[in-house]
Amino acid sequence: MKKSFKRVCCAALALSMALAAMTGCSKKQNSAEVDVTAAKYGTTYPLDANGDSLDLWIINSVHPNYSSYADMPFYQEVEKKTGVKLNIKGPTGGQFEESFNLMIASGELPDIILYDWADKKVAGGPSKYIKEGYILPLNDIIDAYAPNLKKCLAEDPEIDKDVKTDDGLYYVFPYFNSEQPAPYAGPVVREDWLEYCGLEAPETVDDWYNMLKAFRDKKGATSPLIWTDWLFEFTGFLSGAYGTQQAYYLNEEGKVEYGPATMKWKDYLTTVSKWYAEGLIDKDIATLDSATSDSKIVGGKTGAFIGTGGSIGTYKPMLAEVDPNAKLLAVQEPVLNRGETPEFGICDNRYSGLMSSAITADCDNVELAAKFLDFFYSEEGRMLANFGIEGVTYNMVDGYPKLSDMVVNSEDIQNTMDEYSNSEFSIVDPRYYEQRMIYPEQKYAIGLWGKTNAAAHKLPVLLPTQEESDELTKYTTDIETYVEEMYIKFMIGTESLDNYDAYLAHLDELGMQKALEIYNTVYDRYKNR
Amino acid sequence: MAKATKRTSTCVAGRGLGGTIKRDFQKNKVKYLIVALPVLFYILFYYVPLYGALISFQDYSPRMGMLGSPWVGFKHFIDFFKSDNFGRIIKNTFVLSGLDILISFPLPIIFAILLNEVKNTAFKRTIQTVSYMPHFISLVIACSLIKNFCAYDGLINGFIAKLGFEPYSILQDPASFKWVYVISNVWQEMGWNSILFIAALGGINEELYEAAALDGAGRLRQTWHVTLPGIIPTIMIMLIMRVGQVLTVGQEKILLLYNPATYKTADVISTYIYRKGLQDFDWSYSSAVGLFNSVVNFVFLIAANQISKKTTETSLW
Amino acid sequence: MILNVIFMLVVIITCLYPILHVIFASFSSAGKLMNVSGLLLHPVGFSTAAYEAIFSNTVILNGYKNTLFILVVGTSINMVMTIAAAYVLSSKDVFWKPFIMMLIIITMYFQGGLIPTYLNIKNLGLYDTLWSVILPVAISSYNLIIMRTYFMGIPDSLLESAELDGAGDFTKIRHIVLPLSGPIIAVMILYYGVGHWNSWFTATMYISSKVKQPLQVILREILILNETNAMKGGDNGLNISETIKYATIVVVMMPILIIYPMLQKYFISGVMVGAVKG
Repeated sequence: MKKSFKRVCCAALALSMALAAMTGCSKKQNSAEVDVTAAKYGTTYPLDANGDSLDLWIINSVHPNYSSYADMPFYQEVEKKTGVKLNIKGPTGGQFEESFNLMIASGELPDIILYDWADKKVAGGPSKYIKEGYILPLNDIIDAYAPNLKKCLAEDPEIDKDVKTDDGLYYVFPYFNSEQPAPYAGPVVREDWLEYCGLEAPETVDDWYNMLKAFRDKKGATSPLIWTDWLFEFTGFLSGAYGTQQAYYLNEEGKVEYGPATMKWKDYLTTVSKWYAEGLIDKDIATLDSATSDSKIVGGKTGAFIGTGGSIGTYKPMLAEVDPNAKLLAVQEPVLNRGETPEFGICDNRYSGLMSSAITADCDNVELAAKFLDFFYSEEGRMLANFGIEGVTYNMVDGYPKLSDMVVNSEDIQNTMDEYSNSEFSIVDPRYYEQRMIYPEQKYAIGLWGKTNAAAHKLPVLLPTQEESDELTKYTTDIETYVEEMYIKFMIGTESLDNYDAYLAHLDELGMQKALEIYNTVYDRYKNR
Repeated sequence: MAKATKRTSTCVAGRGLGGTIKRDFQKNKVKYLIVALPVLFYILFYYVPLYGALISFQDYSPRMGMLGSPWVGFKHFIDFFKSDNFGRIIKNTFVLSGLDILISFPLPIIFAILLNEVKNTAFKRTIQTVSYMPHFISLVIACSLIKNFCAYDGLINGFIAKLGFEPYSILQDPASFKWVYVISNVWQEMGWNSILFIAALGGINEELYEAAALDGAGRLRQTWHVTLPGIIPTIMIMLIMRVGQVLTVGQEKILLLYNPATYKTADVISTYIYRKGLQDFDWSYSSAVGLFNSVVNFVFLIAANQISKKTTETSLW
Repeated sequence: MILNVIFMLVVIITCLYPILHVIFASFSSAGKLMNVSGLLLHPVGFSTAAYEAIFSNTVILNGYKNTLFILVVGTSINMVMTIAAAYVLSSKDVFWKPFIMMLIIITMYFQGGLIPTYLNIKNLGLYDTLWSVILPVAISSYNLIIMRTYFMGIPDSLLESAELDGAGDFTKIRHIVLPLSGPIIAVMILYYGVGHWNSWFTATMYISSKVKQPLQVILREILILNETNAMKGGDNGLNISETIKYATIVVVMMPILIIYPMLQKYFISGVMVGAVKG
């Protein structure tokens, strides 16, 4: 019993330690008065770091083929090129959010954190983290230590506006695309079926209707048109013809609008429910997963689907085995009248707010951290981040970084490149993505899908305050649940479109107007940056 | 067996509480020593971090820690009760869980008893081994098989069409969801859950069967008078614990099987919270809902335990 | 009797099919598998690419080693702790028993949540050690209650007569309780063992070094990488994440299938019964 008494004492001790931990990490509240005068590491790479090291936490896990970050060729090369010793940690097993929050809660911050700083999962947004003394505002630091990034931002005012808070503070070394990223998905149809039915590539909604009917009647397609939800939602397929999309977007007047809360959405629903009723859309449309849709596409039950550039490459050889005549053709998003340009389509922001590096308030070597991160905005750093190691993963051919045979012939290009590169530290170079598209159909698809006015509707990365995002969450879960539910009911016909007005009224009860108000406030703040 | 379970409730006897404690300690020294380590375990790994449950009453942020986060009382509970679908998700949770208790709970017991009747040892072992295998298939794959079978042109609709009925998209039909959920539960877990009952059957004294046989009891009567009473304590304890999890349903599975068309019957507390978490993960809110779940579950546990104590003399404490 | 056999055959078919499906799919070529809808009755386009992807991983052996350590050490600790607690909590006339029972049951319902638990692990110095996934789960209350229920079924008369012979608690456990509990011990080893074998979440939270990660985490990472690359789009040729999904299950399940029969014989045919005079 004495023994166990001792143990109880141990437990009590642990309890008091835990109580200490409850306080969390009361961070220094001094909003980063960083001394930017003393520069001791020089301005050329590799830096004269004298063995000084940096602690990093990055959102990418160790590549499965390596046992630690230090073993990966990319980080070895980075250490060599920057002259900085790195000590990297990151999440395991795909638990990004939990790992990040545990790190924050434990109060032991590294020098640099690469995370989705402008994403909604960072509650309160980056301004809050700056104000509470977790990450540093970078304006002075960039001026003093990051000439490369500074130059990039000066040359690119559009990005410059996107990567700061509404108060004009830089909070990360941003990860962004050097130009509007190519769209990765859009509608695809069976070209050989079109030919068989004597049809041209569809352009208008009516063309689509006739084509799907022909597929159903002449080719015996049991599911003429299919999609899996997320791609569909992003492309705004068909609803775009009616000038709307299942998302928050900018309307013609430059105001934020939510598609399913408009009358345009009813026009879209009218068409799609008619198609469903006539057997032009897969009967299981709400439950389709990617494996099932794969089998329908390859198995010839489907003649039209929403695909990615990659999936064209994947299906092409599969289809060829089943049917040697099979051909896939990317087509444009449907429009109402011939000759119109589609209003919606896949469109990513150049700066997504994801995967960018912040310097923490615990960093006691701001100069080194900043100079380290700035390396990736130099010509040399950008090449390393995007294309890996010259002579290994790429070779310069007439000034064009051509991926090496080792990479191109590997089973999975991205997988191999992940060992040697990580563009998330840097600016995305489009010359990498275009080399992953090997078939002419893929290149054609990406060119065609890009010809929309989608960029005019796309909202930039917005930064709601803590109060605003709390309020938004209160409404949006119920709104989205209701919208998704009614959407599918209207489509499959278990709810009559006569009830559309009642549907809109209920949306308002759920706080639709308030949510839109908040969105517009936040967007106005963005405009005034 | 009944006698054995009765023992739990008889412990306090003698003059005065102090005297009892003293005598009890004298007598059971060694037992307390044995149980000290497990108790320490519970304190160290469960009670020390238990303070964390209090974040349900805060606007907790990992940055501020518990002492720094503001207290908001029952705000999150009220928000939860006021959410648009509160009534629906509570109802669905109870329906799915209730059906599961009614169907998925007794089947492993029946299966164990039937298996016990199989005389051929090799056959018996094979069945038993095969029956628990689906338990090891990951839910993602199990659910993709289920989707496959339930598709408009799938296996089940094939039967439906043969019987002369109109095929329909089963997983888009709100009325079918609960059956898909429960039947697939039986399929995946019946064998695995029966293991415990098979073991309990193995613990029954063979002599009792012999005695019953001498009395001229047939197999059926032996089952009724020997087998069932032999495993009643196990059944009751398992039932109490199952009822004490009444608000816990297979969240991951529902997420994989439901879709907006079936929210009406398939959306449960945990899936609603999951979707809410996708919008903006709120530690305090999900902790509050978790606490609400626990309290309801705990009340059910106590109720089930009291009923069981009265009717079968089996009790958790 | 006939009905029983038919029922059992139905069980066999419905339970065996999914496993065969998984095995067949894991050996199929990813492309051919894509074309399959409905039942899969043999591998389509035989391929071992998924297994190659898994076993070419450099840390997979480490993963096996760590899992084995967690499995053996963890389950041993589980058994000792559970038997100890179950024995005391099933004995009669122990005054504090209901209180201890309550103490335990409460933990099944009320817990501190992720962050405090994590900080606790850190404070105890378990962070980034294999102990962080062993000690916090040293007892499962659920299993403890099952074990205790079984122990309570052991006839009092046996324990009482042993006591009269002067046997202490340790003797009673060794010579009466344990020999009579073969079936339940086998089940507990199975429950705990499978629990350790399948667990991955705690490891991702408490273990940061990749070389200390158990098998499940490593398999998860292989799968996630292949899936996200498929999502990113722009892939040409095949994406094997679908077959990897199946192969992972086979890799995880095989050892259990091998060990299972050894445990099974302890609980399937009432071994020790009859040996006891009631």
